[in-house]
Amino acid sequence: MLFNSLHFIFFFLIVTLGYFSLGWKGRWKLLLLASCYFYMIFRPEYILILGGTIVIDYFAGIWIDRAAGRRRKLLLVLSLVSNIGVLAYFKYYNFLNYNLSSLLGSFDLANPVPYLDIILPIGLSFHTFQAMSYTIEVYRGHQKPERHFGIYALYVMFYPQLVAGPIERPQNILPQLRRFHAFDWEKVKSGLMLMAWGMFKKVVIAERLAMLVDFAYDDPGEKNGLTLLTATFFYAFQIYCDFSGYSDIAIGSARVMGYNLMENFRSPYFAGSVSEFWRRWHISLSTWFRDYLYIPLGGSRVGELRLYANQMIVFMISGLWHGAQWTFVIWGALHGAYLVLGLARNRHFPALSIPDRGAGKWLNTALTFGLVMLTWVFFRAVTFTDAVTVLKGIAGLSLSDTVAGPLNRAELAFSFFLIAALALKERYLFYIHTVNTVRFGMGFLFLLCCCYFFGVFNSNQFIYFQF
Amino acid sequence: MLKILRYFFLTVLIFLWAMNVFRPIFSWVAFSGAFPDSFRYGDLYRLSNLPGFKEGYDNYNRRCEIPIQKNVDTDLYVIGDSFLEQITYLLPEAVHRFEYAHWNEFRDVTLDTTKRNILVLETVERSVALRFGRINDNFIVHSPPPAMGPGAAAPGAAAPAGESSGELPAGPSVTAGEKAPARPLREVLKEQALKLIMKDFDQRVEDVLLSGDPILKIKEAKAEFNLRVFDRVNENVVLSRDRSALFFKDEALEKNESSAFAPVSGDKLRTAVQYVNETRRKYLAEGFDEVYLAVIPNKVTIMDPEIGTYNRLLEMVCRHPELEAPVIDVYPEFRSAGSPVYLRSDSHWNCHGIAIWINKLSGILNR
Repeated sequence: MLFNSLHFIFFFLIVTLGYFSLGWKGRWKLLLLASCYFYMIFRPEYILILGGTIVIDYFAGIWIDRAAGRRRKLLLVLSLVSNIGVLAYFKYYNFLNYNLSSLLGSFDLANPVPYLDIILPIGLSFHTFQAMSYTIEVYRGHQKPERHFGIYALYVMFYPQLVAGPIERPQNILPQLRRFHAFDWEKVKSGLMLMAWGMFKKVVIAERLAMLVDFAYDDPGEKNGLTLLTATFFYAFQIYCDFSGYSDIAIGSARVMGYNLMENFRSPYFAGSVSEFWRRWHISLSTWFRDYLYIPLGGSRVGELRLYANQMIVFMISGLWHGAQWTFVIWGALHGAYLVLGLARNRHFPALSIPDRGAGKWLNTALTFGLVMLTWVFFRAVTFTDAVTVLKGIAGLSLSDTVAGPLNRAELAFSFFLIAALALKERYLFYIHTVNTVRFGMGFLFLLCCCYFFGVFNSNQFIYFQF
Repeated sequence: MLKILRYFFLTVLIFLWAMNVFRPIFSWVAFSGAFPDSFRYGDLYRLSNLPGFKEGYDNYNRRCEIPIQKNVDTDLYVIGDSFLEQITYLLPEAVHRFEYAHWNEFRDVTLDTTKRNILVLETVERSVALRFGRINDNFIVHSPPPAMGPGAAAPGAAAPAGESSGELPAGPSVTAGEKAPARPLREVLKEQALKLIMKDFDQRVEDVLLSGDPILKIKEAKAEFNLRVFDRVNENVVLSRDRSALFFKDEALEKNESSAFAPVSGDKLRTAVQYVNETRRKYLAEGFDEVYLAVIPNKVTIMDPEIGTYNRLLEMVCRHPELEAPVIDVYPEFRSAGSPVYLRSDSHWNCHGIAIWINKLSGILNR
């Protein structure tokens, strides 16, 4: 189910009103049932895959807790292999097979492994990572195994964050699922406002910017440099508004019912460095990689070369997590390379750093944004060749270029205005205060009206659904 | 008090949700006439909500009064789309018996061998490839049983539109699914589920709950704003270059396969023509005396063919050297018509367009 749909509005109102009409026992059942419905709207049969991994991880958690020594490790490995196995089969099988075909083809050999007609279950990477987080935490002894099957299933399936995060940790969400949340008007107001703001970002900003982006990246060889540059600039904000909008709606809808999900974005384009960007962008994923991959690899307490290698490994895997395409791997590798270069500069050439104060702060922010924006080219382009075409087009920018595409001058100006308004809001009004009920009501209605009148409504999914 | 309100809203919301999900509940409420018809001002207005393309309700819904001569010795059978569905009230006036089957339905018929049996295969231009991608079998033709005299229909045959049920009993329409011999369990389950559960929740909510006149005013304000400021219309419609007409995007955007501006391959054209021929031969063998092809021009083909590079599909089909079926072709008349032949708020023809087509048909019937 899409958050930006009428179906979701009905769903949300019914589930929320029903939730507050029930006791704890009824609530977890309602939420689990609602989450199944939410998921099954996309492709009903895939609930069986999700159910299968839930059963495996539920028992794995209990057995890991009971076991010790090698057996404990073995059970963790089995659980991780089953999770990664599902992910590998649905997401990476054809990708690996395609690369095998290319490799064998270079030796004039045919690939005997058949391609499979697989449709990726929606949000698979998200709930798989959340499930893995649980078994790892149980293995590390940071989390007691959840013995209530329904609660564990709800931990994986909790509808607000089921298909596109935030990727929660069991320590945060499991205790909340066990608690009775009394109706809290302040949380309701705050949650609703966050949802409305998330919706605004999605339907007013992201969907509008998407029109030029889609136009430019569809056959980029035919577009001029200014169009490609504007589209790439727009894409940086499209993906931010799309994904952070989703996160806001997810966090807001959970907050209305009294649950606190982790923050996923913190004005990432105001970051002064790429490493800071990753502390502000998709926080739940970057901390997942930090906790479960980077630190086990040795983290920063290793030699210099190993540190650089760890950074590259983590970011390339992060790229691959996003999609089974080399363009995503390159996107991740570029971020890894930025970080490695930043670390090397700080260690060996500290004088090259721009002081992070005054105009230098803004320069750092602008440079970081520019570097990140260039990586988005690989994230958005359908193929590597397309990405190179876009970069070549941008490099060949001419003063005589005009922005071509589906947006007229007024809409183009409106799009830039929206980006500027977004930046100002993020800078000076990061949290919209909702304590005053009258102001909340007016602000909420204003946002809803803006969503309707300035929103672009189509059947586009959220970008991160595909991951 | 708050508790009562909460349960009240919950009940209303659950009912509305269930109504938009479960087919039986929806049918029950819909048949009670509780909702406005979202198509009441035209299909293009329904999508665009542009006030400039809102035909008056009475004008849009009025029946065309076209004088038509009765041919008592002729039975007319039509397999067609919404264009001829729009005039099923007129055609029974022209013949002894009239039968209509939409391309999506199957009907059992028994031909009266004492009459001249004419079959018309009608499609709008944009659907030619879709309609003639197989040999048509929408009419399941039965031989008259020996006990019954000529002119009588077998029990179960569909009643001619406009006739009293005393002469020929109405027969059930069967769906394509019911005709298939054996299907996998997965398909059967899916079909059963679809009988109970409906898809496109949002579209139904729009149609059922958000298409009342006061809400249409709000939608119109948004549509007008988008057109005036951003020069943008709903993504499912296209505005003509002179802004006087609206078209479906399916027929007007080059990137759509069914568009009037998408290049047509020789193979695709030949395939369609061959299926028309095969269909004609099949129905002639089953007892029809004449089988005609009628391709109704797309609205964009007539009103703004220079919006792109027109593929001339209609002409290529109707004048194809291998085409065996005679054609009821209104393209030249539509092109040269002095006044509009299509409705302003709709993709279908108006009374003028209908009259031109009926005139052509009468020429055939009176032969």
